[in-house]
This record gives sequence, structure tokens and C-alpha cells, in this order.
Amino acid sequence: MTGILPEITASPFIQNPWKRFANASGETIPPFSVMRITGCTNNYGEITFTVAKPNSTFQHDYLINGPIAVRDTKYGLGTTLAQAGYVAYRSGSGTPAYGEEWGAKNAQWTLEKNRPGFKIEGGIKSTAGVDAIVARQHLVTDLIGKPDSDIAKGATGTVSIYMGAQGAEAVTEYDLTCSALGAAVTGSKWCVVFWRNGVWYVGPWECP
Amino acid sequence: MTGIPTGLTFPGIEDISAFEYVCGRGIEPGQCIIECLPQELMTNAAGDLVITYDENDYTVPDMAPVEQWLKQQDGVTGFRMCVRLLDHRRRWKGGAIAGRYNVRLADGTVYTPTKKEPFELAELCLQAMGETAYDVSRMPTGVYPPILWDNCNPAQALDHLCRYVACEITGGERAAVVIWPTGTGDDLPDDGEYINPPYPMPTTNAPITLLLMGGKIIFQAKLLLKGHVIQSSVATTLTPVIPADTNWPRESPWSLPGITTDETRQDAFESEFRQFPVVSLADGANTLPFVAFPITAPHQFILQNYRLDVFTSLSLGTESLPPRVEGKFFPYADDADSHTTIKPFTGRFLIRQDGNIVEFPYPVWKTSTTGEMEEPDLYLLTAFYLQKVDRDGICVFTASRLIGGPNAPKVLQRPELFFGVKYLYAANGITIIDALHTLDPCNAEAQRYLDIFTASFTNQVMLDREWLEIRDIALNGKIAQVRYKGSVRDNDGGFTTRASQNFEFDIHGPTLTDGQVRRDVTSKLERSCP
Repeated sequence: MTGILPEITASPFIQNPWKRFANASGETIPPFSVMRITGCTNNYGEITFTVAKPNSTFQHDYLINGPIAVRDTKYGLGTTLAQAGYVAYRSGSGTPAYGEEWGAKNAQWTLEKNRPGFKIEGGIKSTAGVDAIVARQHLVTDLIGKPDSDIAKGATGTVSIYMGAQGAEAVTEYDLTCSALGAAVTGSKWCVVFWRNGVWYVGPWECP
Repeated sequence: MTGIPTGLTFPGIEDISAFEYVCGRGIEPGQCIIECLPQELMTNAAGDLVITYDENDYTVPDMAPVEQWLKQQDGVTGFRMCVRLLDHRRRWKGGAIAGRYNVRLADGTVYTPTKKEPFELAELCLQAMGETAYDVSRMPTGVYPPILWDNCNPAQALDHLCRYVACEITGGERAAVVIWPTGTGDDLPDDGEYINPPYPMPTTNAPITLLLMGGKIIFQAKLLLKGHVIQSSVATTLTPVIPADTNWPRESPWSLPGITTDETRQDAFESEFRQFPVVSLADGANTLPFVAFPITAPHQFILQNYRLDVFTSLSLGTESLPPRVEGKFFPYADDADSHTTIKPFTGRFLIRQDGNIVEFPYPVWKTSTTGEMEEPDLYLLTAFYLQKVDRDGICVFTASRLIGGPNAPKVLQRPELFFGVKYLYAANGITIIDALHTLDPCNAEAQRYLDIFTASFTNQVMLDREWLEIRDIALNGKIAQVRYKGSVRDNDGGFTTRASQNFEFDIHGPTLTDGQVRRDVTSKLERSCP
């Protein structure tokens, strides 16, 4: 650690808008981990999220752990990273660079490249055994995918979500039940998926 | 004696037949009792008392009548009137002096802008007393008595100062003050026709040793801090717990969800990750240079809220810096790294001197290599006194000198004499390699006090002489008291002078000792200067 020592009472940790969470993942959560919110309670007058490891159920956003590793059943402090901050990434997925988009992935505490959710600001840091990058989270409400089968206009059906680099888009672990309110969509054809008023909708993107 | 012209005059008093004037050292006025025919005194104005003996006049200036009464003549019907006169020193009863001098810094050295030698302090007192003729050149140098004059009586301040540096105040009766070191000056003259044979004897007031008791020695070193948690299982039981590593809480120190009792939570919030008692020197050693006893328990440290390091402030001059905490801790930064080398802690903390606890307003911890919370490595750099483990003695500065007299040791209380020791550290930040100290000036000043008081006891002789004449005997550091006495009545004897060296023969008048007792009581009642 080099540079100018911060004054503690005005330091970044004090200034951040932390939220309490309870670790219900069954394992120790490393610093800056991406955590899936599974619920919320009031703990001595304080909002406390219950978190677990990201899974195959798609989340609009995640809670990011602070700089302290939190053991199973213990409590920690997390943030939504509305302001930029450190988040862990999987180095095997690549080296984050400014402007890229990285996102959560099933069964890992770290971000994966070419997934939605986190805009990279830069500032790679290896800290407490974690590869971290400065990023800013945004709510994910728009995706791409392919219906598993034809969905008639006004009906609902399952859409497999695709993510990845341009020209290398691949199916992910996420499936969403979507409403084809506006138009029918053809199975295995590209479509757009968007979130409105609490409902996932699907619309055609590739010609049938 | 017949045939020798004698006389006594005082303005406004007629037909003086006899007098007795006793004059001693110090600030108490000497008194003269005049006998005369009963008369109405129309004035109490001051004037010169003129004693005429053998065509010579001996003048005691600025005497003033303060009291009169009638006395029946022995063996004769009728009365004589007695008038009490007080000498010039009666004017020293009033006045005020203020000032603060010889202020000591945290390391025991004198703050230079306030530094004054005893003769300089005496000058200030004499000027406040309204005196213009004085000689303070014989006063000792190299000692710096602490002065806090808060509008107190300047004569009493001068008296206390002189006692502090073994000096005597003389000449006040002549409005020409001379301050002598005790035991110095000319001996009584041994010429002339004196009545009593000279039988000198050595003084009996010398102690076997002089013992100078200074102030507490102040140390500055790094002290190791260890966290603890106060846990109470019932309302009135508090058990400080220094948790082992496996028991150290691995949960959020801001919510403590594992502690569910309200009172226990309150105690835990005050202590867990927030209170760090002092446990030992930084490297765990139990000895320190300049300390004669081992340091084996935390309570031996009497922590102070300052360091011996100083800075120059804009308004107050030299000031001590506040204590400092340093160590390896999480600096509340954005990343998860704690300091891997000792760094200064830049947040707020306070030292609770009851319990020697450093207390932070928020949790302080260190992160492991995997980001888990651990107890931080913390050290406190501050000034402290040291006491023995049984609390039966504090490390103080002392000095002594063998005198060899017949009396018990004389203790000189000089709490302003102490020194500071500041330890220096190796590159690892916790091992002492050297020390800076201010022992030398402290010891030099102590030795000067011992020199001064040794001289006041050494080779002193008590002597008492009375002459059948009036002789002008000046008081000094040896000659303690003079009495002039005379009567112009044929049957009452002639004019005599009696003087004593290194003791006072007249115990009925306001002696030096009586005056000291009165002044001590008065100063306590009137809250005069130390």
C-alpha cells in the first residue's frame, strides 16, 4: 500500500452507503464478491439482506460485498455499486478494461466478461487474494436470446438468454418466461427480451 | 555609664526616658518600645528614631507609632506611658504581585521566555513592595524556583522565595534591603567592651543528609495495545475478555448479531474492536533504561494525554504534541488491504486513564491475506509515569548529599525538578535502541540546591554578644538579631547593644520563627502565593 494515508473519519469506507447482509450461502464470501439477494429482514431496526451465491436464476442486479470476508451465517456490509467501487472478477475470463461490460455468472462470486450488469471504470487491484476492478452496476432490463419454441402472439414461453462478445454470443444458464404480447416469435430465432412493469416481454429480432 | 552623653528622640513624643528596639531578619517589622511621660500623642506620623550615644547619632528611619498604653512605675506611684513603634517593614503588609515564571515544559526543562534567576524574582518582589534601594547580588544562581504569583503579597512572596533558596532578608528596617545566603556575611565584631564572655558553640540544626525529592520522571515510549471485549452476563458483572484468536468475533462489529442481550450488546459495542488496553512495552520487554524496577504489569504505566515531542504554536509558544497510535490496521480505504508495515493511525481516539485503555469511536481491525477480520497490531506512543508493580512507589528524581549533622535528614521538596526520557526505536518500530533525556540540566540544578543548603549548614557557629554601648550592627546571613536598649534614668542602666549570630536570643518579640508560623497560617487563609 503506497501513497497518502487517508484521514479515517472522512475515508472512503466511512463515506460509502453500505447495507447490512446476512450470509446464507453456506461458505465464506470473499471481499468484493457478487452476491445474490434472496430476501430482506429488519435486524434491530436495520434493513438486512439475505444473500447467497449467484445461481442460474437471472437477477436484475446484485449486492457487492465490501472489503471484509464474511463467514457463513455471519453478517457483513455490501453495496449496490451505484457509485463505482471494487468488484471481483474472474481473471480467466480476461482482463477488464475501461468501457467493457461484465456481469454475474452461475456458481461464482466473480464477474464474467461480456455479460450485462457492470460497466468497467478501470483500476485493476489485487487485494486480499481477490482480483478486483472498479465498476459501476446498472439495472439489467434488456437482453437477447432465442425462444426454445414458437410463441404465439399474446402467449408466454421460455426464452434462452444469450451473452458474449460480438460474434461469439452463446447460450447461458439463464431461461426466462416471457410474454409475446406484441407479436409472435419463432423458435431458435434471435429475439429481444425486455423488462416492463415487472414482466418479461419478448419481441422478434431476426426474421422468421 | 555616667559621663557619656545619651539621648533618644522621636518626633511628636517628649520626655522619653527609656527604649528597647529589637530587630530581626525577615519581613516582620522590628518593634521599639519607648517609655515616656504620659502625654497626648497628636500624630501617628512616621519619623526617624534617633539614638544618641557619645556624640554619635544612630538613626532608624521611618518608624511609626502604632500603639500606646500606661504602665505603673515599679516602686513609685504614678504611671509611665509606653509607645510601640514599628519599623519600615510595616509598609510591606500590603501590595500585590502577579506573574508566572520558571514554567517547566513537559520534559522538565525551563521554558526560556519565563526563565528568571532568584535575584531577578527578588527584584520584582522588592519593586512591588515599593523598595528602591536593595542589593540582591549575593543570591544564588543556577536554580529556578517555580513561581505562580496570583496577586499575592509581594513581601510574603519574597520571604517564600528566600526560604526556597536558603537566603535571609535583611536591611528592611533601614529601607535598604540586602539579601544574604544563610550562613554568609561577617561574624559579630569581637572588639569593644562587651558584657558577656564569648562562648561560641556549633549550630545544632545540621541534618545528617540533605535529601532532595524531585518530581516524577516522565517517559515516552511505544506501548503495545491488545483488544478486549467487556461481556456482562448479569447487569452488575463486567468481565473483560481478551479473546484468543479462535474466539475473536468473525462477524460485523457494527451489528454484533451473535450478542442478543441488550446490556451485553451495549457493553460489547463499547469495547469490541473499539477498546484496546495497554499491556506492555511495544516489544514486550520488562526493563527500561533509567528505570530501576522491572515492568511486569500494565497498571505500572500511568498514561498522560501528551507526548514529550513539542511544537511551537502561534499563541501559546511551546506545546506538547498529542499521543499517537500507530500499527498495522485496515485504514478504511476502498480496497481490502491493511498496512503491512507500521503506519500512524489517522483517526480519532482517546486515552482512558482509568484502565489504561485506548478507545476508538469506531471499530479498528486488520484484514488477513484472505480478507477476514483480525485483531490489529496497535501501539500507543505517549508520555507516562511509572510506578512499581505493588503501587508502593513512583519513579521520581532524587538527589542527596551527606552533611554529617546530628539531626534527621532534611528533605528539600523540589517537585519542579524532574527529567524526561524519550526512547528511540530500531527500523522495526518496536525495539528500543537509544534514549534522549534531560537528566543533565535537572541534575545540575539539583546539585546547586544541595550546594546552597550545604553551605547554610557547614561550619556555622552560634555566638551572642552584648556591648555597653550603642553599636551599629548590620544584620546579614549570620547575624540574626540585634537589640538596642537604653534608659536615661539613673537607676536603670546605660545604653547597650546585644546581637546574636546564627540564632535569636529574644524569643518574646516577633521572632523569625513566630513570623514564619504566622505567615504560613495567613497564607493558607488568604490563599497567598506558594
